[in-house]
Amino acid sequence: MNLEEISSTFKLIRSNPLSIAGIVIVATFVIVGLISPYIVPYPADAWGYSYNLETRLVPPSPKHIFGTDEMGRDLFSRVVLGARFSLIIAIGVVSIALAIGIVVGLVAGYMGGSVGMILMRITDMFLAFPPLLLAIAFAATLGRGLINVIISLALSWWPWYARLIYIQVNSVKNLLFVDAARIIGLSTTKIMFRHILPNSLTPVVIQAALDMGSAILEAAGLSFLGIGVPPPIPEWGLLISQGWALINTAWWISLFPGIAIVITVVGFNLLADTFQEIMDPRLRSTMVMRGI
Amino acid sequence: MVLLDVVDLKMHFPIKRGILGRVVGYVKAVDGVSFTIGLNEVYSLVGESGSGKSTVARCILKLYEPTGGKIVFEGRDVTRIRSRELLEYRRKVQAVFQNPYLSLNPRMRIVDIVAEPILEHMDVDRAEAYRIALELLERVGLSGELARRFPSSLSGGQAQRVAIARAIALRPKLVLLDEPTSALDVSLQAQILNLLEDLYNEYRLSYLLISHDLSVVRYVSDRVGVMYLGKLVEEGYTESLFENPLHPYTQALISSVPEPDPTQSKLSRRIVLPGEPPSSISTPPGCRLNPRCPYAMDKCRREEPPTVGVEKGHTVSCWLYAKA
Amino acid sequence: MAEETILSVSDLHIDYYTPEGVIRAVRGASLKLCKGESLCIVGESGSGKSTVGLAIVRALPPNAVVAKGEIVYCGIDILRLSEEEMSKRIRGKEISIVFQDPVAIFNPLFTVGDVLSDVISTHLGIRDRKKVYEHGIRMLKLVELPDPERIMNSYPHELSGGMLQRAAIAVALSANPKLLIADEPTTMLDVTIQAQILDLLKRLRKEFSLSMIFITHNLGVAAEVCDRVVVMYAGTLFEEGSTEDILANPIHPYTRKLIECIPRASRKVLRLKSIPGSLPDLRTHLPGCPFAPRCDYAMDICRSSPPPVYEAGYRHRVLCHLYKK
Repeated sequence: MNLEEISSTFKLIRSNPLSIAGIVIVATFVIVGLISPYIVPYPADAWGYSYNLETRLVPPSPKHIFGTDEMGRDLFSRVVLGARFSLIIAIGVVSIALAIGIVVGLVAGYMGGSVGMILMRITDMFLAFPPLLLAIAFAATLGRGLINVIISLALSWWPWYARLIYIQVNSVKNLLFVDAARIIGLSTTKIMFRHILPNSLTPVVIQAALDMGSAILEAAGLSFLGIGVPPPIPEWGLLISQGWALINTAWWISLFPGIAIVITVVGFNLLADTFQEIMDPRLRSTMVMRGI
Repeated sequence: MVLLDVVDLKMHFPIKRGILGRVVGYVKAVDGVSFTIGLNEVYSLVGESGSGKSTVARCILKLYEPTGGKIVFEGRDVTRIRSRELLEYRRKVQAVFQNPYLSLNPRMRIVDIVAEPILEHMDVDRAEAYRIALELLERVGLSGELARRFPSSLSGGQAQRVAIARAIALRPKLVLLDEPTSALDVSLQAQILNLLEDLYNEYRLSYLLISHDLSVVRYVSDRVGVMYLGKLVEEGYTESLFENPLHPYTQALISSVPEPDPTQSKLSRRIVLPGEPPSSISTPPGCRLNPRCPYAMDKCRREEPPTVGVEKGHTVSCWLYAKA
Repeated sequence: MAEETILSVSDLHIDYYTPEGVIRAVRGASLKLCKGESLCIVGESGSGKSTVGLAIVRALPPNAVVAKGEIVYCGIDILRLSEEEMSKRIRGKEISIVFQDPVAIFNPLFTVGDVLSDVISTHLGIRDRKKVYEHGIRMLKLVELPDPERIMNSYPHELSGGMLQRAAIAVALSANPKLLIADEPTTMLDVTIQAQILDLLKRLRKEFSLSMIFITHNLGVAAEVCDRVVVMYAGTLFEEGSTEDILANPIHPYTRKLIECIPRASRKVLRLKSIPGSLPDLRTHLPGCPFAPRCDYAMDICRSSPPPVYEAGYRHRVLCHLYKK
């Protein structure tokens, strides 16, 4: 991408309010996630190591914008710190799943033959299960814990990336510049990683952006079910489940983490849409027309 | 001295049907083609789609392994070489393809594209390799400021120059040009052809030009081979072939080329071949052209014609010229 | 010799809106076509030739805007017609178009017969299925397709490029239009098949007194098929004249250079002349002649003001500063 393309891309994004919204939301999420330990008004509450009988179940008020939970902890601080854990989960899950999926898909796609067939059959076996179900199974087996949540989700997700990459590699490997690379005399590994992989990543990058949001959602689901992150970690799903019993009276405890999840996931979806539109030349022109 | 000697080259692709992959037939893309290319010579393979000329190119480039015949390069049989020998061969035989946007990795900067073969084969450090790459880009007419660009931001002519720079980076002996200017405008085509000629003289290269464009072939080549449906039907020195085309197919081919000639006398000389070439799967018996040939005789439908020499270096495979 | 003008394009300006900016693809093109004539619009890529052709049938992509100009066909102002009138009255019925890739008009899910029947029944208003089918067969025979019954039942991918292009011509002519626009119809075909198609078009032209606009980058094809030639470069029309005039007596420097850089199959050429440089960026507003940076004869005025029209002979126009003195 040269300077001209970058500036025209910026212009496109600027003219599309939804793209801006997506970027703003995700950027906010990431920044908050990174600096939250330092900005939360009630750090002790946030990490969960406090117990304040006087301030139990206080509705949203000036001192506690999101109210407090049944242990008297400031909900706002907990939600803000929760962003950090969601960020860790999102990045962790997607990177591990990508790493496994890319290697499997790349080798299966380029090598083909029996190696490819075996790898893809294994992938297909995983794909036969709905991912959430698989994640639940893994999580239940591994037990609660932040790392376990990440592993469970990554293990249930890598097949999707593997398949995406496999399909891309299958078509990229027939492109002329791959033949040109062979003619120069490059080794198979170099061809795979220098020529095939970079040209197969586009749909995967889009999917990965979308999946960050989904990872957060599914982790929240696991925590809600009690097999995800253990208390007192202020993970959003866990916060929702903690407020579930009191939903009729202390509605704020489940509501605000829920809103946080929705906004963040929507943000990632919008970002993924933006990526897709930018990278696909045909969809790009629809962005142009919208901006005119 | 003979640089490349292609002997009875055959490339038959099996057609598989069913779950078990039963072979039901063959696509005889190349069915016994022989020709030679000398040092510092330009040889063109001419033909339309289905002629097999591109398949011949791919066999020579070792993208396919021929199913029959052999390829001899610099006196050595290179038909089935591997690893180190293959690397040596690749250093000497390079290619430029028709569409530079497809033959260049869209995610690599052009200086990287040109430096890649140098880093792979030559024993130089990165800085030296990149210095050579920049020199090559300049040599083909691209300024240094384009070096960090990606192929998509270059014009067709510029991108094709990058492909040419990459091809000559290793000082090859033979460069295959597969329709190098077909995708370019006429004015750009002229620039590229002139560049190729200059490089040919400067580096003492040999070219194997694969083309369907007879006017380019006439301009560029020393010798020409005409292919039809997997076979070489006529071969000769360029002027002799164009001035005196012997095979009916060659005659039809040459007369089909529309020329920007104000005097339209060519129209009356035109030989239009009826119908279309049959598929390479079910080739007609005897001479491949017989269903369409205006001169087809009984013998043409039964037996394949032998190759006959008619004048110096000019051979043809046609019963019209074979004695008895 | 009063010839009836059936198409006149005046001062056409067309822009494309793209993410990278506004491309001024056609910058003031004017041409006239008389009844029964075939006119070739010749140009390299970026010349705007296809854009002009598409504009005549209003088949431009959605991001194209006709900024200025007029297209009049038989007294009808094409640019002012509604989309409905265009498709009911003009497209297919009066003016038809054949594209470079015949696949453009054939939906891969439908047979050739389906498309043909559709066009015939829509434009000719024939309801009787048998009559529609018979007309379709007649059209396929007209374009010299062997075994027309089989072709009617074939899907596009089952036919070779040449056969599909013949079918496309059959579709285009099925409602007996007066004007046929052919946009690079033979570029994707082998040269012997191209010869067949060009011969077919010439024959059909005679038989149906068809007027034709043939768009091509190949001057040789223009010489074969057309009575008149229009040479375009970077959106501007540089020269218009009869084929003989343009090829034997080219006046515009670009036309001359273009002819000089074409290699020939008919004779030996020692060294090709080439045109140095490359196309200007079509997004910029070029105040003068777009060819000035590459022209051997460029003068100061060429860079500052657009080239004026010079009448070089009977129906032979040139746009160049060299001749206006």
